[in-house]
Amino acid sequence: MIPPTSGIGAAVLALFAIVGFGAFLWRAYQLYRYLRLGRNEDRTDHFWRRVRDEIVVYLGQRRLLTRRYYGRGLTHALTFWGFLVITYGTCDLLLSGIFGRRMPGTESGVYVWILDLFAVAVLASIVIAAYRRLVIRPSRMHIALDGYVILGLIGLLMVSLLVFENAGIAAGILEPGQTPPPLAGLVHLGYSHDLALAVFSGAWWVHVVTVLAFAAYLPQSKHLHIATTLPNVFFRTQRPRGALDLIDDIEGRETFGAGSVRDLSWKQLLDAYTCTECGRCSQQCPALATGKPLDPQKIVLDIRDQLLREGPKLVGAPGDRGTPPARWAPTKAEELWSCTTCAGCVEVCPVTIEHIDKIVDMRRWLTMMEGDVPAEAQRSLTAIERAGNPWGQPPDTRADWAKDLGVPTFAEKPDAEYLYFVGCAASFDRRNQKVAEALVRILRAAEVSFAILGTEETCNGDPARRMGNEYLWQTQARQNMETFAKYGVRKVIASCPHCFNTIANEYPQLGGEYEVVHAVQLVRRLVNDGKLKLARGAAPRELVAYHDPCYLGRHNKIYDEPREALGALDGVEVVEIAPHNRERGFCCGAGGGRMWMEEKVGQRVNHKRVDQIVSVRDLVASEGAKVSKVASGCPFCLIMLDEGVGAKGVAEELKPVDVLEMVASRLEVSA
Amino acid sequence: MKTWVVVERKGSELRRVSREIAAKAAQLGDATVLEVTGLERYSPLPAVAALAARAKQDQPSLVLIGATPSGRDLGASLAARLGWTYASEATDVAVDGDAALVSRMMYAGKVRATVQAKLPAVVSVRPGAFTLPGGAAEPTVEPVAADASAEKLAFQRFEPTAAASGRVPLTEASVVVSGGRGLRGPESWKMVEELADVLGAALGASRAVTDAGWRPNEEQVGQTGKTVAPDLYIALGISGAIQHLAGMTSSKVIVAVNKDPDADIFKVADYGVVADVFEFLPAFTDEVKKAKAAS
Amino acid sequence: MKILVCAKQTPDSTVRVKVAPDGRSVDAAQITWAVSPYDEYAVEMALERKDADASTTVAVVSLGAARAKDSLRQALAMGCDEAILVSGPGAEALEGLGVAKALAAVAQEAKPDVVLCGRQASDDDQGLVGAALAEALGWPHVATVTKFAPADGGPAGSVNGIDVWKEVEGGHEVWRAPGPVVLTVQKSEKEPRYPSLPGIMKAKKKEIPEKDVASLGIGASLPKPEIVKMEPPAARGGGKIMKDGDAKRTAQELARLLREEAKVL
Repeated sequence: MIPPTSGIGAAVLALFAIVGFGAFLWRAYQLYRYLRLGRNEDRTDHFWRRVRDEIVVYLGQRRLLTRRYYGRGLTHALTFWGFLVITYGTCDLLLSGIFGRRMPGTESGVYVWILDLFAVAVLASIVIAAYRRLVIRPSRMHIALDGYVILGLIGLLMVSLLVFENAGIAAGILEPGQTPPPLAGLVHLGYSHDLALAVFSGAWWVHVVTVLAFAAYLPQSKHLHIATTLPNVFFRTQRPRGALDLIDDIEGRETFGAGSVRDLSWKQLLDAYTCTECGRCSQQCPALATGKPLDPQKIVLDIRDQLLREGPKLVGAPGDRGTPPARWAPTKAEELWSCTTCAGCVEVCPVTIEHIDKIVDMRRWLTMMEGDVPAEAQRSLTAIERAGNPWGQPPDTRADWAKDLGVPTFAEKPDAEYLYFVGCAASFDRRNQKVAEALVRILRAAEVSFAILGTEETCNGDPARRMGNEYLWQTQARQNMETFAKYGVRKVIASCPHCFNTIANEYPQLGGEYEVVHAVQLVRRLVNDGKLKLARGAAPRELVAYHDPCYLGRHNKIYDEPREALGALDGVEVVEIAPHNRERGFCCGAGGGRMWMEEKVGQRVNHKRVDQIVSVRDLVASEGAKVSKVASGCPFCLIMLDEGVGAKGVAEELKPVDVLEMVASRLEVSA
Repeated sequence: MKTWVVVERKGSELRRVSREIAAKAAQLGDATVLEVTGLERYSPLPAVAALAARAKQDQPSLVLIGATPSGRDLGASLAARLGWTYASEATDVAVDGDAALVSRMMYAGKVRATVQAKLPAVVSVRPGAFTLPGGAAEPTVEPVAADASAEKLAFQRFEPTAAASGRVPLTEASVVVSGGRGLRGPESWKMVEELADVLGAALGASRAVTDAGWRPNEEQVGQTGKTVAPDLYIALGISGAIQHLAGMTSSKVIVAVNKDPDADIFKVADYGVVADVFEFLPAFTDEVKKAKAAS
Repeated sequence: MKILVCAKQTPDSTVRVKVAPDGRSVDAAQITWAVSPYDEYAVEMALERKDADASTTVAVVSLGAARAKDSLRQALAMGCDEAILVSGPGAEALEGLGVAKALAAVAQEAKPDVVLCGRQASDDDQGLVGAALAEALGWPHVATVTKFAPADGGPAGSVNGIDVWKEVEGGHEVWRAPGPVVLTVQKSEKEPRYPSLPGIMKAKKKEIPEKDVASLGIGASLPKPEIVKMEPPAARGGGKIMKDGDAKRTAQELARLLREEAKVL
């Protein structure tokens, strides 16, 4: 259509465009300068993986189109795709309005069709989004004026677009050979030619001015994510989910962790700009769900707000470090210590924000710089330093559980194929010693060659790292790696997902590359390969609920193996603790070092988890079946579930077990 | 051989440990029972000055003193002043020629040692190390006037602890009685308190119990609660999860009562009782009462 | 104010101490060493003073093997200003009175306003050194201390007496010491602090001067108890389990065992 910008109109439009985009650029420049306050961090590795992420997550909107969110995700995806299409059209409008030129392809019938379809789809999505905000008001969502402004602007854009197209058709100002917009032309309002022209002109101006206002408003708003998601997804971490960031050259540093916004990396600050305040992370957070002061979204938004507050001052004063993040609010430290690092937030964030890294960086500052650690956490850190285990049990009793079983150490059996890294829980906790015994029986039944390190094993360091003591983690890791090297260990089995995760995903940061399997993975493989013979025959039907440990599931995507291992047992059926299963699994409350910290506020996470399991059991019971066990694959989960079923008075009928114990109880008895 | 016993009073009564060591000294022969008088509150310098002066005249070979807080302080100060051998917190004392053979715990209760303390020696003796013979006569106590001129400290004031319960603080108690979920509800603590009262014990609890709100959080013993190392730890209806064990395994003697014979707590217990705690506890409290009354 | 803390290195509380084959000493292999817990409270108590008044200086002294330097570094990392190790032939063999004499020599040179010791070391559990050190110095001594503070009044910067909170049954006695005083510490107000990593790094690099024990003129050998026998206490887990079934009989038996065998009643 011929733009209504002859003569002075083009100049006015040009002026508007300069003001609108100028405001956008000026603000963007400020934000960029604040972003540069952050520390350097290289996020350019794995280029092609980043390109793939960009296609899948950004263009494909994959993280919005997920279980539980398909409907809502689709409205966003349509709006987003519409935005891409329509922005192209907007550029075309501005170009033609100012310079009389067209963007390539905009004259094609296909583009006109697509544009028109998306305009209607976006408008419909906006109506749904407004309805959700006004009427449904999901609790997770932070509903503020900002959202309405944006919805209003987008709605106005779509309406004005459709109106000017409609009027343009009525006025007959299509360029020669142009395909008429199909949907906009469906309605005939019986305009007179002059009125049609006037409506066209008015709506056209409303549209382009709204576009420019939108551009100017955008960087002031949470809708900045429209712009920042593109780089934020591209620069997302390519580390394994379970691996925290390494502090390299730790001996040569003077400051540790985030004691200032300057200590957060530029990417962490970009995360903060990108947060859309959708609240999905908050909805997944076990701490928030049980009344703790932590809200993962607030962790991110606090960074954004503080950066905007302190940024102008810090930009001009290189020596000024501002307020340490852990002191931004009196309750901030408590927020940070409430995190179980379960990754529920990270899993669900549609714009790939990395919450755990920020929390741990702030904990690092508290622990390593301030020595400001909860008393019980301090006790277990000291215990790791001095006794090599977080419970402070006598280190020379580490292998006592194995004595009667005759499990060899590497010193006794240097040619063993696998190292079984037992971990502190299975070494010292009597309940978990039974799990270790079960694994030993399985490995022997399958004739796997293995040995343990005995008293030479020490804590893998995971609790220390997650409590913010990176130095202690490195010390522990190096000590274990030296012992591994001494015996030429190449393959490691772990029955604890925390041991598994840190050895598999984090030891490589220090040069320790091993082939690490979690015991359930190995069991699954042994069953598949026919090396592990299970008892067959008329076993009674047994329903077992499976609880996903965070460090097995979300952190390492081991969802199927434990279910398959259970399913391979005659008569056993796995019951899902839906909807809190797999990627949406609910933490037991013990991750992130919380195993050794007191829960003083709100409900206990493990009690809430048991409530969820009990309600699934009750649901199944209403269908006439009985869930008698809840299985997991993690010693901390087992301790927490044991405590939880006891507290809830269901210990007799809902017994927490480890998958390995169930498998070991069904081994084929050789004649 | 000349033996001295330095006694201490609580109010007007001799402390039990003082009577115990006085009875023991009487067996060793030639015993003198002394009490430092004239001090409203114990302070080492006037007491040591008086006793040291007297010791130079008397030349005792062995000084026994109760290992109470002030007894330990006085014993150590006296040994240092006189330059004699010192052994603290004896659980048994025998004289062998020119030395005392003293049984005592070392390494925070992880080692039982017998040490030879060359005479003359000062030995502080744990309460309960010697049993008081039934019907033992009150010893004749000879006063030794404290030497006020030796004092260098000035008493200012007494600040009473605002203790709601009047019980010993958990982390300092020499006996702790702890209850777990096996006690079924807060109403059971009446029984627990009764035993604690007889023993002069602090009250503890497992996390399950403080979680359930049966007992206040300060009573929690364990990894996420308090770490205790009393002489005697009595666990009632506690299963013995690692979280609890982490807070109490350093206790010197552990007694566990649980109806489940497979409970993990029995693996760390020195004395285990497999019984219904509701039947056992009243009977046991009675026995402890009897034992305390008899001795 | 100038504070001197005496800190002994002993086996960490998580170590399961084992009796050596000779039956008169402990097996030193596989022992993790740490500052004795009551001495750690003493360090914390001194640092709590330093928190309250930044002009306070805290020195920490230990006596014994070269490995004791690790424990001194722990104290430095927590925030002590300087550390001194008394070492050399014979230093490790010193006990009670001898240790007190050696520490007295250090204190006479350092001239602190307050000397802090833990109430007892977690190895010999004697609880002699604090009192003996006060005797050797001719200073007054307060035991079972939980807090101290400079007395009010007097010109700024000078120490005009020291108020000491001594824990007794039912509360605290507050005593005032006019001049230098030795305190044996029961407990600090807070749990011993967690050293910061920069603190640890700084402590690692810090020079710890060593004093030869021979130069302190301790003189003739002082009497000390000689260990004739060491045994482990009744083994954990090998405990007596009673499952008689009759509550009364079991209660009688348990009370008897606790009284006669364990001697804890």
